Amino acid sequence: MKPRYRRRRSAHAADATEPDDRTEVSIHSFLATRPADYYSAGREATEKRGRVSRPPRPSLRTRLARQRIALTIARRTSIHAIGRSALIIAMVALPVAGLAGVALVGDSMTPTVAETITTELGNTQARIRIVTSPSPKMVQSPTVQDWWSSGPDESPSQATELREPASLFPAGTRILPLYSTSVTATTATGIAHLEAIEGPSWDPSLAGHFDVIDGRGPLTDQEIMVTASTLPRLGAELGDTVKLASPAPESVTIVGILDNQTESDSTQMIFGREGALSGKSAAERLRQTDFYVPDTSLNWAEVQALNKEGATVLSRAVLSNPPAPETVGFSAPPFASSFLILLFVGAIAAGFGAFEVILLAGAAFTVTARQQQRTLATIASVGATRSTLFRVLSSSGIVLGAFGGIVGIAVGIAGGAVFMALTGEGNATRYFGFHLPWLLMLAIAAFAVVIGWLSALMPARNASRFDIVSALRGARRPPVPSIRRPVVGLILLILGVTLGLGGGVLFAVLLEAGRGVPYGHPLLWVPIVLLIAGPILAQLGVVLCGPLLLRGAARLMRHSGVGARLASQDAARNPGRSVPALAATMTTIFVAVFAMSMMASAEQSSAQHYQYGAALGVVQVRLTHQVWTNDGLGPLLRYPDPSLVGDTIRSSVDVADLRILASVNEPADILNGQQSPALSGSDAAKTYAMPVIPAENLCPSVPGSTEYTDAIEDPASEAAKAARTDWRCQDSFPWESFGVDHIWVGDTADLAMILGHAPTDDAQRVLAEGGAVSFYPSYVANSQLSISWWSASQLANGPVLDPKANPARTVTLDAVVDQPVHPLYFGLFVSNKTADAIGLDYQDSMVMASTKRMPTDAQSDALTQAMLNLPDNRSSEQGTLIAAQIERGPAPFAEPWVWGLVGLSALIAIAAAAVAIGLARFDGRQDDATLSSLGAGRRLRRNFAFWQALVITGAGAVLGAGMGLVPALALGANPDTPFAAPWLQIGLTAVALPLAIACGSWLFTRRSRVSARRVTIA
Amino acid sequence: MSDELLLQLDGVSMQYGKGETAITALSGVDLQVHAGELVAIMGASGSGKSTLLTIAGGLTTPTSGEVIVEGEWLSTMAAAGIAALRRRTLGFVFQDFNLIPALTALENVTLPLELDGWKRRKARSVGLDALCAVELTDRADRFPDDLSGGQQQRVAIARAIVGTRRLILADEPTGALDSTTGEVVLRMLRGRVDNGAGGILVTHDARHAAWADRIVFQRDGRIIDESAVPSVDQLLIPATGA
Repeated sequence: MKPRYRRRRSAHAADATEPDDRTEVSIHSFLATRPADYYSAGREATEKRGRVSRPPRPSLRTRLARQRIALTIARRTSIHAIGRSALIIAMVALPVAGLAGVALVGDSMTPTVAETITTELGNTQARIRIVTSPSPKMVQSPTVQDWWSSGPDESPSQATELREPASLFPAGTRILPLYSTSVTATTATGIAHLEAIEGPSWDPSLAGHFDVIDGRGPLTDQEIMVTASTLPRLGAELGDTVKLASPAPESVTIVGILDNQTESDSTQMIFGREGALSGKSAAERLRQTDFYVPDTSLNWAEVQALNKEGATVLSRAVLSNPPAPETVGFSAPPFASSFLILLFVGAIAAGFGAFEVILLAGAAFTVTARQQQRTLATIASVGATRSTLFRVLSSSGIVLGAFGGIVGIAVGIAGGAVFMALTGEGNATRYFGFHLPWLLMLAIAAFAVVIGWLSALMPARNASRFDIVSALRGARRPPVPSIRRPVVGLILLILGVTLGLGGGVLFAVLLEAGRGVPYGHPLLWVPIVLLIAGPILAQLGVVLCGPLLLRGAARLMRHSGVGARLASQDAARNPGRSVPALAATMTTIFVAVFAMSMMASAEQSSAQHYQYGAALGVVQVRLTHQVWTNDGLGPLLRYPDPSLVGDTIRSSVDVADLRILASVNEPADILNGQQSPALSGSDAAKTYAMPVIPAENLCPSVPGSTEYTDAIEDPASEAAKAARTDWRCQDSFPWESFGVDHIWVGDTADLAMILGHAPTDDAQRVLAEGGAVSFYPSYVANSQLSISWWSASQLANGPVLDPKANPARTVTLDAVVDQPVHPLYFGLFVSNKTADAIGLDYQDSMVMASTKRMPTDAQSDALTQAMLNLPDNRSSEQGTLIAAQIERGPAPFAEPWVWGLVGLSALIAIAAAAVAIGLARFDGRQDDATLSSLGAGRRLRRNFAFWQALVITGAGAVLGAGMGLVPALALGANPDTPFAAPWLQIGLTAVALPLAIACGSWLFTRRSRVSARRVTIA
Repeated sequence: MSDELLLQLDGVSMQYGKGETAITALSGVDLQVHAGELVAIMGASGSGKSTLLTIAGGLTTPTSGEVIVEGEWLSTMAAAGIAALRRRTLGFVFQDFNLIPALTALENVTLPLELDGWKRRKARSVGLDALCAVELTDRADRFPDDLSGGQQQRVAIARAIVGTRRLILADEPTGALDSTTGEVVLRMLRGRVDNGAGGILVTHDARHAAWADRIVFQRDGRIIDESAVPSVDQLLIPATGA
């Protein structure tokens, strides 16, 4: 029988035909409706078309229908495999919750206009601050009171008087002045410094800013209000009388409790009438006082008029209705609210979290795809294209991502609310309200869907390319190893490491060459981009090389025990789930190691720049106190009883030796260019002793040096580079710090106390022979040093470094150099006998005590308290006169952070390993059953689990640690960020952590549950 | 049986691997299936029966030879075109049913129609007709897990014949069923063929092969013998009578 072919009108034409037009159901009716020319002449006809025929692109409705089917299958499959789905949802929800929480908290920290008005102004109309004398060109930001300018290229005039607010308003305008100060009060256990506000804070117009909780406002100067938490500190109740020690000793009665809404509930604060505590009126401190106007509304034009009088204004009316920016003529400060910063930090954290989730959820989707292979093959057998198969699995990502988003946002909002409740502390300006940024939440939800979709993308792509026939038979074939990927991976790895290291070197070169290329210069973005891109490329390369690495590991372990061999083979043959887990561990450890190295680097850098006050463990009490006023330096106060200070130190810490040191006081006021009585009158003839730096020892970059040139001011010049390594320029104290005493006087024991060790024999000899011991080599030339006496007028323009200058007199002494362990702010040392002989005017200046062991925190607290309790140890508003300092060296701030990072990375690595191992176990149920049927016991399964975890997390951790060291090493080329790796913690992270995870995996291996049931299709 | 040719395999060979490790699954197979004809393929395990079926359905591309389905040369078609052919012309029935557990019986049946862009309502109507043909209308909204093996296979048959499909490729369709249920399934297959469809029935059971019009014997990838079955009813009488 000759075959008779029927020509289809066109399979593709049929595609184009609306399928819905085909109403035939039965085969017979279908046949009956076929046109006569439906049948073709066979292949010849097809070949005439000259190419492989392709159907036209399906219509939008067809594509939507396929997407609907994909979503239906995805949704129901997700419900069917609830455990795996819950795992993916939880993984997606984690970063989403963080982001939602940060968004909520951040937005709640940003006030609305109404909240700004309430917390800043209460019910008043405006707040006035007198910031300068009248200035016709002064302008301010309408919404930010402290953002103002006195005019282009014009500094505020100091010549005219400040205007009093009362003079700026019509007579009878109510103005409430509030002034922040501090008081010393007798507490339940001693005395304490407390913040205080003078002025009618309790006025009803300030409600919202200050709320009266109980009692009433003070009616006399002997009445005060306090915050609720001040009462227990004072050991008093409402109606009790307490004693104030300063500014003036007096007894006051607590008549009310006031809540300052801009401070936390734990803030201890006292409120009194204007001048009741400090004795000064608002008019006497115009610049420091806030003037609230309760009843007079101020529009923008009136605000501008007040600006010209030297006042800035925060006006309710202007805040509510700010002028158009173009009419203001003065730009507002750049908007960088805490909310945006928080959001930025949150976005970085969420980005990292999302990356981890994509890797781990991707592994879960790989297992899902494998479990769904038969379903997908069946769908293919009924005519689904590969794109439809891709849709089915990627839709799972969308569905689970959406669920993860909903769960994450709910958890984030709840967590954020709890966080705000716990940390708000009643401070209305910490969280202005419960602000839920809905648009942002929707964006975060979309972000979650994208995470889910991205997680499923690669597994979906692989699943759409599997062998349909094998899948229909239920056969499982390992993926065919790619040759191209490892090659590309290796290239990326080499490129990434090169770029990273190159970026670090370039960074250092730019900073070194420039010394003028400031941080933030656009050129610096080049190495920064390289430093970021390099490690990312390198890690991408490692991920691409992952299957090859695992195969290599399996090859290495082929002669190991059965458990190790099986585990390594399992990891190598299932890269879809093992490589993401490896990558997740690697990126986590990468970030942790890099961050740890940067912390250690910062600590080392900080230690290098740390200025020691004395030797380690030494307690130091300076007996003088330099008063600072608004006009600059004030008088130098001196505590009269050094012995009492010594006794106080002895009573608090374990003292080994205690010395009272004397020094030649330098005239700080004169050296700092201040007006001083010493410059005129009877003191004008007085001279001041200062050590001399010989011309040949003066740093060439210091003006006054004989080697100084203008070229040296250019940081890139050869002279400047040479100066940076010149020994004379290493320690700037001798030629830079004046007003700090340089010449110290005492005996050998005093010298030992300063040095922190016994003086050298030479030092002791020279001291005994009437010479001087120098703590810096730059003072000494030819075994001698000089001390010159200068008049006040000579010092008025700063220290005299010019060797040609003529001092009143100069004394030269034999000298040796004996340096302390660390450079200190002590210049040279002479004996009392020598000091008297050469006419030095010295006084007791410091009490120093070496300790038997580093004082504990309790001893430190006790010492602080004891110092506070010293009689006469206060100086009006300047606080205490003298205080003790314990030299503990640079604070090791990095260590807690580094350990925290170890813990955090351990948590993430454990989670990654748990996901990977859980998926592997789920995926390997059939293998497990097979092993059990062959008589494999629990020991083998435990060994398998141990090695499985070790291979995956071990490889990830070692690679991550290596990658993390690359940028740290690269940045080490810059002296400001020295390479300092915390090897102990890195070792723990790279070696001990995978071992611990492997041991945990060994420990928690359950008995095999052999099941005769076939693995379900989905 | 009509003389309308639904499927022709022309010198089809299939080889897996290369060189010394190469395995020949099919070697120069010629086969024709007409409308109204059920062809049974019998042979030992590894004889290439299932490979032949997957090649006929366009799931596997032969190493050489031509496959022509309803006049369309598969070698000239892109993957999407062959997928369209599977949606509209031919349907598979597998030993393990291969229903999609996430879809109901009706959704399983209408899947090829919906993938083809049919309106949901219309696809549902046509799908119900197909389910009616296999007497499972009352199980339309059940999920596969809630159906017995026989019912699942009947759903699979409904899916294979739904819409315009008229070439049924059945791979051991009764392999997972008891004999009584298996007979019901075969009877339905036979019924669809008698109504104008064509089909291939891969089996290793002579009693099942007896339902076919023709039996093709295969060994080592080659067709070694072919014989017509004179009367299915005659072969069935002893079995049903016992």
